[in-house]
Amino acid sequence: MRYLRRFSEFLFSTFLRLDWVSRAVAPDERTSRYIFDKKQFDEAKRIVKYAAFMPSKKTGDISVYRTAHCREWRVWGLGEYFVARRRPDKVLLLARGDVAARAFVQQGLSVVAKPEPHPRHAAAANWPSDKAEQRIKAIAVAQEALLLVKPLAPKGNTV
Amino acid sequence: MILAAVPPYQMEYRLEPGMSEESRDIWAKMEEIRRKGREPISFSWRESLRDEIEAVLRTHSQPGWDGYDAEPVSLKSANGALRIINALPDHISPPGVIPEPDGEVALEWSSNNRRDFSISLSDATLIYAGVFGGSCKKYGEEPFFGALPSTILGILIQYFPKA
Repeated sequence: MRYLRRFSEFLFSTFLRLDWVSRAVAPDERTSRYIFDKKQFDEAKRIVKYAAFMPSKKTGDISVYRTAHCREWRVWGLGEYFVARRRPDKVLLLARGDVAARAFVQQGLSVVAKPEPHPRHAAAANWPSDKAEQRIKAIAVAQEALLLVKPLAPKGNTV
Repeated sequence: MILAAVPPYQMEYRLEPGMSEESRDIWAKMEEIRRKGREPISFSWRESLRDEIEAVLRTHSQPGWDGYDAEPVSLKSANGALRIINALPDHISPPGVIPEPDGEVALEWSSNNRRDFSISLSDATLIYAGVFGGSCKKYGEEPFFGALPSTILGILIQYFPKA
C-alpha cells in the first residue's frame, strides 16, 4: 500500500513538472509565496505578515512560484512537492500569499524566472542591503498580498 | 499525582514525586494561569509578550524554520525585543512578536486600515519601518539608550493608540 502511494506521488510530481511558462515574468502575473510558519500570517485578520516577504540572508532574494492560470490543486501541489517535500525536515505547508509581480516591481525589486526545481519557480530579487529598507518593501508587498490558508486534505488525498 | 475536587468547581493539582512528564506540564500550565490571574491588567500584555518571545526563541531555534533558509532566532535578538518591551509606553496597543528570516525578533503593530509598523533592536540600534496607508512610509534607524526616541514614540502614539 505504501509503495502504491509513493508511486502515485511520483506520478503526480512528474505530471506537475510537465509545465511551461515564458521566461519573462509579466507584471500582472500572479506569484505565490508558500508559508510554513504560523507566525507569518494571521488567519483571523486574513493577512500575510511582512516577515513572509523578507529576503533570505543566504540567497538575498525570496523564492516564489508563478501561479497564473493554475488551478488550486496545482498551486498547492507545487508548494507541497517542490518546496515542502524537498526539505529534510518535512515542514508542513500551512498557507500561501498570492501577490502580483507588480507589487515587487513597484518597490524597485525584480521578479526573475529561476526554473529550478520547477519551470514556474522564480525569485524576487534586487533587495537593498539596508535592513530598514528591506522591511519597508516587505511591508508594502505584504499589504498587497492575499492570504490563502491550505485547506485540510480529505482522507487519503496526499496533496 | 493527586487530584482533589474542592467545591465549588475548583481542583487542587499538586506536584508530587513520580509524576509523569505530561502531568508536570499540566501543573506548570495551571500554575502559570494562576500567576497571571493575580497580576494587574496593565502588566498582563507585557508579561504575555515576554512569554511569546520565549516561545518564539524555543520554536524558531532551528535553521530553516520558515521552510526556506531562515537563520535560528538568536538569544541576543530576543533580549533586544525584551528591552524594547520595557521601554514601550502604556497608552499604546500591544504589539505582536514576529521572527524574521535573518534570526531577528521584531515587534509589530498591524491595524485593519493598512497601517503596519515594525521595530527591532540590533546591537544598540533600533531599526524601524512602517507603512501607514497608501504612500505614507516611515523607516530608518535610531540609537537606543533604554528609552524610545521621539520619532518612534510619535508613530506609536499617532497610529496605534490604545483602543
